[in-house]
Amino acid sequence: MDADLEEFKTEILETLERAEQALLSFDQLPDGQSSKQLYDEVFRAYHNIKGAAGMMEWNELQHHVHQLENILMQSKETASIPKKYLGWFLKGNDVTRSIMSGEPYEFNYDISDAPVLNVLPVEDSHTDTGLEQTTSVVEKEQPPEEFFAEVTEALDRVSSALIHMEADMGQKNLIDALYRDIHSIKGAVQLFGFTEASILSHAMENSLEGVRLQKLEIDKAHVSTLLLCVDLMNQCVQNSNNEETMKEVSFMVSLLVPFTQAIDEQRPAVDEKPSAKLVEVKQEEKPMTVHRSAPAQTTAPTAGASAENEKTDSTIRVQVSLLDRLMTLMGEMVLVRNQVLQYSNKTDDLEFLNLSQKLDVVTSELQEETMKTRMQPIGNILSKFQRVVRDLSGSLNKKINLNLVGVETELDKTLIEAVKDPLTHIVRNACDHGIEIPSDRASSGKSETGTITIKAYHEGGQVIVDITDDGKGLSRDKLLKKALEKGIVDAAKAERMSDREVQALIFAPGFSTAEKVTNVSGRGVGMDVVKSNIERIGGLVDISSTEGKGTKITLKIPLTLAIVPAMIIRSDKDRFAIPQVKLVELVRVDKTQIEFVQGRPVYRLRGNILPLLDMKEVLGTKDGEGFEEAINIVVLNSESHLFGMIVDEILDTADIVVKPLARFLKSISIYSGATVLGDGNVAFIMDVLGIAQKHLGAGTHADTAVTDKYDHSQNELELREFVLVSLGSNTKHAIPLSVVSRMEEIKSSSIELSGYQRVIRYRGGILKIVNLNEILGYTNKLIEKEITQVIVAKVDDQLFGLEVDQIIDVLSTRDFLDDSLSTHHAITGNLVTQNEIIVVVDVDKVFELSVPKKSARKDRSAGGNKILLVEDTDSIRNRVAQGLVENGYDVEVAIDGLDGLKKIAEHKCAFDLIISDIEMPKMNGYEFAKKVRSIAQLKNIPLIAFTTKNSPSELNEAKLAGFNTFLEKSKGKLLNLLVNECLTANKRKSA
Amino acid sequence: MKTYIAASDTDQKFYSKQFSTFTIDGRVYGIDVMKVQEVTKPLQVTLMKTAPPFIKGLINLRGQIATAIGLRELLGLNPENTIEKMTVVCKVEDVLLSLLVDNIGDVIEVQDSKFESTPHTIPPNIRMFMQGVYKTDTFILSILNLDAILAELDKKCA
Repeated sequence: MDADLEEFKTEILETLERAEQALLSFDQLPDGQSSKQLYDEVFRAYHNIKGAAGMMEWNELQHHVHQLENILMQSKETASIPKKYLGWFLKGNDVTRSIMSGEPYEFNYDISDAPVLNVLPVEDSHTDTGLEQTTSVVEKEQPPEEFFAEVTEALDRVSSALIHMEADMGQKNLIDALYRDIHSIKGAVQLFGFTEASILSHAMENSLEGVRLQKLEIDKAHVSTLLLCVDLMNQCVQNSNNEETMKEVSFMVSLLVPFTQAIDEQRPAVDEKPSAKLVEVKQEEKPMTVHRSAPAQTTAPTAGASAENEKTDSTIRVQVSLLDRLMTLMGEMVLVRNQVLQYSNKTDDLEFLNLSQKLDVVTSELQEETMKTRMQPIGNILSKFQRVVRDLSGSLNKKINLNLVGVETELDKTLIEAVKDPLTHIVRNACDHGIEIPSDRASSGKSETGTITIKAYHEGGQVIVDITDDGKGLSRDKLLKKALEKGIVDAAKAERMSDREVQALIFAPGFSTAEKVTNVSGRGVGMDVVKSNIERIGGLVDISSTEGKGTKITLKIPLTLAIVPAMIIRSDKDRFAIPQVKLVELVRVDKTQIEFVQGRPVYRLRGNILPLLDMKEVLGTKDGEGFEEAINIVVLNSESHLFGMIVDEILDTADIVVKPLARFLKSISIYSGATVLGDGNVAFIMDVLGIAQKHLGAGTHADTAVTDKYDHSQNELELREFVLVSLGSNTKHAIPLSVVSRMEEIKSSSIELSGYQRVIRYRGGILKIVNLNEILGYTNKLIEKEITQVIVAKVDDQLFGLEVDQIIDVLSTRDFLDDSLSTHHAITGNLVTQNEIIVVVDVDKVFELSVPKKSARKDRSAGGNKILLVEDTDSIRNRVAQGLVENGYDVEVAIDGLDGLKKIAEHKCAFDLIISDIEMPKMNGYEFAKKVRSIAQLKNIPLIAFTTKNSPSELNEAKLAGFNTFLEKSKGKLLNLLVNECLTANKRKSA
Repeated sequence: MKTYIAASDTDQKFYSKQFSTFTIDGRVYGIDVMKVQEVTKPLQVTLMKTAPPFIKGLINLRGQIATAIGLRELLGLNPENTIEKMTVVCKVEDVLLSLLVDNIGDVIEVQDSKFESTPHTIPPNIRMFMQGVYKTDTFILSILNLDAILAELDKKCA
């Protein structure tokens, strides 16, 4: 409500401004000069404000503006305003503002002491009110874009309110909102001369009068009629002045009559027109001075006015084109940022490094915020489905409930439009094919009312929309039968297909399982279109179904089209970008592992044949036969078929700004766009779909369906796959491949801290990094590495990163998994292979363990950790100390070993960690460390040597002296990370 | 570089046009100066594989991507002695084209009265890109029609 009021006020003030401008323009004209355009502008403005004020039941305001309008009406014929009256109107505008802001005012409504304009008698003008007046005065003109948008929005709200009311009759606030919306629609369509629509909205409003005054209950028939009216209204607004629609309108109005009459019977005294009361007011019209009305009269609007006063201009309307331009510029800025960062890696200028880091942070934030300006809640389209489902359940004789979750999830405006149709299709399908008729449901033990749930949420930089129904699910037999009939698969293949592959058949072109074609769905076009539409915007569709239980369709949609995460690869000297959504995995194989089928290269990827395509062949740069010794394959996914593309090198991942190609280049279908890389060079973005179509032939079903990838049953001696890793233990560890989403090599420096949690930015989101050594209680080698290997695992639909010492290999095995001996609760058991024993990690448990840890860390705020920094060089000491303080630590500094001991004594050993230089005057680091270790309370305190020394013997000496670990000064950036690790490790030890 | 200065009569200013001039293979061409965004030294070109030979690739023009067009190839001029030292960046219908040329001349102003349609003897593969010619005191300037170039690009690549 507050938001409504605020918007209302903004709008009024804007409108008032228009009136003011027009009045001032009159002032520029010669006295008495007529200008229909300006006159209408003023008139429309006043009329609008009056309507809006009436809608908000702001009587004081409504009355005031009505007076202004009345006087203005008198010069309607001449369409001019004499200069001497301009002041009166301008003053009137000021008073309008005063009323809005709740200030006291004085105004003489009598303009007649000056000789009145060439007159229409006052009474004539206001015997007619509202509706008729406007339609006659304002000529029909081309309404602005916003008009259509507003009316459509209001109509959407009306239909969703109606549907809610149907479910729960007598929700007073809903009825009020409904009434208000219809009223404002009426105002808008009248203003632009949509006669039919205005008649219709008027009838709708009247029919609701009784309900609003709580004299009547709204019933189903009424709601249905009103919904039909909403449809017709849409039609009226789209193409007006059509005789057909006029007829329909009359018919519809006649349908509404019973509901209206019902009120009249009960309440014969009701005024015919809502504005009738105003006429009475006008009749008393005489010179009068209005003081600010008593608060009791003015109610909500003015009461809120003072509080909301400053907020009135907190929203503005902006052209979408401006936002687009901002997005483009933002893209440029990201590129410049990337270039700066790349350059900063080459320099040792700390000041510059610092600045570039700041630029990085600010740009990222700016980028995020800019993207938000184009974001709209997905609820805007989801709420429309209430209506769709309601209508369908009626016509199909089913009982269906629609459940919307996550309507506030935001998505780029253009994408919202793009997913609307596919979503509609899926929902209609769910109603038609998914949910059974009530009797069937009852006999299979379900509740008669079926439920369709649409759930939208963010995940990993994407928006996921799940459409779940609890209907009959997909039947393998029926699907296969159909597929065989249609010749989509052959009998031999049908035998071998996994359930998921069979379910994926519904996305095949020309496939429809409906036993009979209904007018709702089942014409054999549909799911394949859904799929291609979603894929066109870089999204994915997936389906999973259990026969008898229901179906779940998952849409994965990118947040925006402008900036996409991509993998940069190299072929010959050129670099290319491949969008991450198309990328399944990266494989590096030996030349000898490539086999040939009919002369075409293939690779057996975990037992399945992966057709290969040489990128050089795609680019036409292939000279000669054969491959390199080691072959890099990017496994790509095109319309649920996998293929591998052989590239020369896999370079990096990057967020790229997509630039469209000149239109005449689009026909060269292997590129989907271009981007500017960090170094300023241009790289092409590969069009995976286009490549597949061009080189693999469209529509051919390759043998490897995507869904097949993880679809291995979990029988004991089945082939199972693991990622082998080495950790701080002598035994190899294995992580089940089924939970592994990807394997990444990340720069250690890109690990950041979110509170105490180590995280990296990962594909538009944040990925939590968990050190597997820590979890399993192995010694964590704190030697800093430039590259950290991380296994990105997926548990409960959540991604998190497992940091390991090294990723060794992928293991496919049928060996026995012995779970009798488990030394740690995050370990499933041991794999006994011919040569060795491999420990299998229970990733679910690791995930669980990493969660409570997070909350445990929370209670110890960063400020609680006190660090002693011993360093003799002023500049280093200051810089390091500052860095630590910025990360929330409490830092005490000492200038040498002796001073350090003094500080320890002063603070009664109350430190959590000590960082010390080695080479220092008076007392060096070794001696200092020994002394520290000799103090009982500090026996276990983490001691970090921060040094330029790095020869093994020196390190050994440091270890002997009592340092836990060391860090080279040249890698100072990693200090915070190391400090954090030490603190956590120490805490775990003591716990 | 020789400087071309047209004999411009100030009285006739309203009836004159300005053209950005350049040479390819020794021939002088002009493009309406209003359509020229800028003139640059050739930037790093990213080659576009599988594209027709007159498409030289993409260049990064301060974050905007322009398509480099080999006018020599498009016009079917002598492919030898290629000394493409400069590029003329034009914007046609929101498409950014970077035309590779040998040398850049001055911007010259010519009177409308000096215009003549393209002589018939000029082979059709070049004439199709020409708007006509302007006669100056010292030489005859061939005016290129960017819209025709874009239309041909659309057609050839389709």
